[in-house]
Parts: sequence; C-alpha cells; structure tokens
Amino acid sequence: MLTRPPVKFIDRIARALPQIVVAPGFAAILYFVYGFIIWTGYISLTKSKMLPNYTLIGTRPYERLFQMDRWSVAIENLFIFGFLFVFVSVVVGCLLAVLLDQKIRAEGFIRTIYLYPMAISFIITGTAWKWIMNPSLGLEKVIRDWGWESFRFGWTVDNNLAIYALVMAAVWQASGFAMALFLSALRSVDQDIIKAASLDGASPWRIYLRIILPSMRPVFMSAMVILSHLAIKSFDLVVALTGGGPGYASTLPANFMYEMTFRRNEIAVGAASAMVMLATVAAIMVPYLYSELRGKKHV
Amino acid sequence: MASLTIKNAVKRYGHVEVLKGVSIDLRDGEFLVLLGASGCGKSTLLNMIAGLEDLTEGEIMIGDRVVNDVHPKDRDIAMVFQSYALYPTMTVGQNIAFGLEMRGVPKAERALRVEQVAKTLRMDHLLDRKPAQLSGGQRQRVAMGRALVRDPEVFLFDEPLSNLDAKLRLEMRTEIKRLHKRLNATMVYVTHDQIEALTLADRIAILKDGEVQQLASPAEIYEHPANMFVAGLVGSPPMNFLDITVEAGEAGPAAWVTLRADGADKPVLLDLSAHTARLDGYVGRKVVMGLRPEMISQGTTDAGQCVQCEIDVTEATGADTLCVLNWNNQEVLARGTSGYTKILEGTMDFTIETERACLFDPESGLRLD
Ligand SMILES: Nc1ncnc2c1ncn2[C@@H]1O[C@H](COP(=O)(O)OP(=O)(O)OP(=O)(O)O)[C@@H](O)[C@H]1O
Ligand SMILES: [Mg+2]
Repeated sequence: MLTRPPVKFIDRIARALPQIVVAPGFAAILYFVYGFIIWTGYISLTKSKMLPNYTLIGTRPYERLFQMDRWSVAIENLFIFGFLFVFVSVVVGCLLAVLLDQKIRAEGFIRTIYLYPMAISFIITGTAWKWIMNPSLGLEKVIRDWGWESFRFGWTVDNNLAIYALVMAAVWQASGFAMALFLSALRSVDQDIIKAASLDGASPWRIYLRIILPSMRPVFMSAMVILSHLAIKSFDLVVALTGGGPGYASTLPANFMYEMTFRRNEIAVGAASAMVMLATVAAIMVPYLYSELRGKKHV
Repeated sequence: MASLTIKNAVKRYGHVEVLKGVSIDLRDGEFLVLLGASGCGKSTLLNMIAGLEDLTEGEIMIGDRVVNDVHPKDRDIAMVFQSYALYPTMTVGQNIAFGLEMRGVPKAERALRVEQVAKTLRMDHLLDRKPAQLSGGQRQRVAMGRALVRDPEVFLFDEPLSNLDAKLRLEMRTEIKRLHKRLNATMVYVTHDQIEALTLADRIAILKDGEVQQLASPAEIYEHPANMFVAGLVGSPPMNFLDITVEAGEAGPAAWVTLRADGADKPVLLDLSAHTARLDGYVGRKVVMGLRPEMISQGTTDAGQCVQCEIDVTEATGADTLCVLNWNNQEVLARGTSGYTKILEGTMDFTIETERACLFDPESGLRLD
C-alpha cells in the first residue's frame, strides 16, 4: 500500500499562493467599488443634503432629479455628444486606418502621432482646445489677424455650439485609438482573401468595402462599446474645456453629479444621478460582456 | 485558353534566392503539375504567374502577350488557393458570383452561371450558406467553383486537395481530371503528393530549391528520372538505390551483389549487359543502381535474371505484398505476388529486371545515358 506523504506546511502555502496574492486586491475592489455602489444607491434614497443623512425618503431625490432643467440638458447633451463622438471617431479612425494600411513609408511614426492623443489626459486636451478656441487668443484671433475679419471659431462661448466643441476635442483624442484598433484588425485579415479578390477583379476600395470591412464587424462593435463608455465618463474634458458652460449649456451627467454632490449640497440628488448613469453604462456593457464571454466559451 | 511561357524566372527576397531561373513552356490546354517538397518555391512561382508577386528577373507570357507588368485582374487567370481564401461574410453563391459581379456581368446571367457551376460541383444545396458553415471538402468545392465560373485563360491550383481526407481527395482528383478534359483549359497544379502528380499531369515539373530538376511526362519521369532526387521522389514505394561496382563480365558489364540466402551471404554476378553503352568508361568505378520494387518480382520468369534470396520481413498491403530483402547489407524492397493467398517466407526465387534498372553517377546524382 502506498501511504500519502504528509503535506508540508510550506507546500500548502505554495499551493494557496495565487489566492493569497490576489486576495487584498479582491477585497479592495469588493469594498471600494461594489461597497460604494451599494452605499451610493442607499444615499440616493435618503434626505442627504450637505452631509450624508441616513433617513430614507423613498424616490423623492429621483423625482427632483428629473424635474431639473439642468439634468434634462445634461441628458440631452449626453445623447448629442455620445452619438456624434462615437460615430465621428469610428468613421475618422476607420478612414485613417485604411489610409495607413496602404504600405506607406514611416507608418510606425505616423501611427504613433495619431495614437499620442490617447496617452494625454482629457484635462490637457481640454485646456489645449480651450486656448485654441478662445476668441481673443486662439485660432479665431490668428485668422482674423491674417485678414479674414468675419472668421468665427469661438465655439466654447456659444450656447449652441459649446457641445460641438466638446465633440471636436474628444474626437481628436479618441480617433487615433479607434484607428489603432481598426488597423490591427485590417492587418489580421487573411492575405490570400485579398489576393483572391484582386484576381476576381475587385479594385482596392471595393475590396475594403465588400470584403475587409464587413469581416471586421466584431471590431466595430468593440470600438463602439469602448467609445460609448468613454463618452459617458467624459467629465474632465468638460471641466477643462467649457466648465459646463456657458451657463450649463454643455453640462454632461457626470458634471451634473459632481455639481450637485460637492457644490450645491444636494448629495441625494447627486447620488440619484450617479445611479442613473450606472444603469446606463450597465445597459450598454452587460449585453456586450455577456456576448463576449459566451463567444469565448464557444471557441 | 492560351499557352503559358515562363522564361528564366528568378525571385529573390533580399539575399535569399527562392527561384533560380525557372523556364517552363506550356501548350494550350496542357495540364502541368509542379511537384516538390515544402518550401521549394511552388507557391511563389504560382503567385508570380497570377501577378500577385513581382518577378526579380525573367519573363512570363500568356499567349503571346508578356504579362510581367499586367495587373492580376487583367491577366484572365483564376486561382484556387491553398487556404481556399473564401470571402467569410458572403454566402457561397455570392462567393462564386463575386468575380462576375466585379467584371460587370448582368445579374440574371450571373445567377445562371452560378447555378450551372454549382450543379457541376454538386453543391446547389449549399448556395445560401456561409463558408464557416461548410466542411473542408465543401469549402474546397466552393473555391473551385469560384475559379470555374469565370472561364479564364489559365487555371492555377495551389495544393487544393491537401486538407481533405483520403477518400474525398480521390474523388476530387477524378473530378479535376474530368473538368480538365471537359474544359480543355491550360492548368497549373501545385502539389507535393506524387500520386496526384502522376495521375493528373500531362507533364510534371519537379522543383527542388527553386530549380527545375526535370520537366517531362509522368511516364518519362517514372521510367527515366533525370537524377536520383527525381527517382527517389516519384514512385511509391520508393525506388531502391544499390551501391555497386562495375566489373567487366563475359557478356558486358556486370556487378557483384551479395544476397542473403539460406542464412549465409552469397555473392551473385548481376548481368548489366543491357547497359553496355551507358556504362562505357565506368568499369572499375562505383555507380548507383536504381531498381523500383516492381522490377524485383517474386518467382521465376524469363523477364530478367533469376536469383535466390532470403526474405527478411513481408508487408502485406492487400493488393500486393512487399518483401524486404537484404542485398549488399542494404534494405531492398521487392514486390511479391498479389494478395494474402500466398505465404512468402524463407528463401525464395526472385526475378530482377536489370534492363529496366536506372544507373546513376554517385557524385553528380545524374542518370547515366
Ligand atoms: N516574403 C518572403 N520573404 C522571404 N522568404 C520568403 C517569402 N515568402 C516565401 N519565402 C521563402 O520562399 C521559399 C518558397 O516558399 P513557397 O511558399 O513558394 O514554398 P512552397 O513550395 O509553396 O511550400 P509549401 O509546399 O509548404 O506550400 C520558402 O523557403 C520561404 O521561406
Ligand atoms: Mg505553397
């Protein structure tokens, strides 16, 4: 008979090492992310004003939230900004990727240039674009000094255009990232398929339109999900570029939440808006993650 | 249909010379098979014919038109890729019709031709599926269909059967043969399966390290291989190579071969008088004698010289039985009489058809003529 050798203490530690290493991080995430989500959810149902107050008052903060004009402007802005930002970034990124795919010289260099904005924080992007769009010291002044007296580029100070200024800066920042995503997908297309198509008599742009781009559908999906959640989270860009103004014309929900919670002593309303945002993000991310994970299992 | 001429084609990637001056001339309607080991440059040559790779040097002509600088789509060539290269987002029908669509064929005619091709390849029931929903053999047929629907000047096939199982491969081989007969088109077919090459080709070009070793009909290649490489590559089971020293016998050249019989080595003088002219000047020197297994047959006939030797091992394959013999301390394969009916063991009679033997120079490897 074989007797089992006694498991040494050190062996037991070695076997449990992965769990031991992961445990602190796991605990921290559990507490700081999920714990605080629950806390925020609770707070959004209380009569908290300047400081957290644990007296429950039901959904009154939510009712107040949806009665505020500032919130409906923020939601409307989010739709305009989100839709334009995702759409333009995908189109521009896709175009750049196709152009870069033409086996041009110095591709690595150009790719780095386009990808660079993604490495900068939104604060810097926002500040830079604020200067560029400032009527009295940016592009508008330069062009007027050159002689085009009626030129106008003061989007950040225009009630109706401020949100588009945000779109422009965000697109500038994110389209390089979309490009990198599409470029790697373009590169992973089987070269034989492209050869076959060119033997079949398809011109290069037809090959892109009919064969390569349709086969990149999953990448388009990923790009859109990543960009939409960037759109929902873009708080710092607004702070740096327009400060939500003029007035509250370019506020986004994240800025609204910050404003309510930390400036206007409406912690419950702020928490309510945070919960609405969480629900929005979840509505986008959960189906995506679900399909991704299920897809992985099938492979 | 058109002839295809490759003149001294050279391909270099940087310093690596992949093709070293390949010249091949194809008649209108001829079926050429490119045969060679992996990495010898077969796909490269095919891509160059299709215009997917540039030539470093040399010239390619289709008909009497030099096509070196002609775009692939204007060469009127259809190619079946090693990887099939089907368009993943299109259905089978769209895959087949794509080439016609790009060439501006009207929709009604497109549908008609797709239907015809699908019928020929027996896949009319698959037209609405996506490539991912097909088996390997079905994908292969779609790839063929895409080439056939266009009726081009030249067909190129890059190992189209390499991913199929043995049975399907046999079926598709016959299908391709039939197709060639019906279309009478010029075809270039790449493979590293010698049986495929022997059964399909009008002529075979054997490539090694980017050089053509021999360009001839299958019969010529089988009976008169140009060198030891070709002799060893073609034929299954492979040719036996026996090192011998040529002696001056009574009737002409001869060679001593030590056979194992009755548990002892017995030297036998093999008569090579049929090769007198060939072996002129080789008396006293070493040569390599190439004997195909079927040139050593079990039993006594008057087709050649009879010897007695011991059978080491036998391998029954059903149709015939292979005997492993031991000559000059080298293993020699012989083809025994057919079937399982006869038990082959111990010392038996064998007839060697020395006339049909090939003789090679041991240094250059070239066949003596
Ligand atoms: N782009 C390239 N750069 C450098 N070498 C290459 C390149 N493409 C092919 N080669 C080399 O050229 C040689 C011939 O390649 P090729 O694809 O023609 O082989 P093949 O005969 O088709 O082989 P297989 O039977 O495996 O398909 C190989 O040694 C390969 O390494
Ligand atoms: Mg190949």
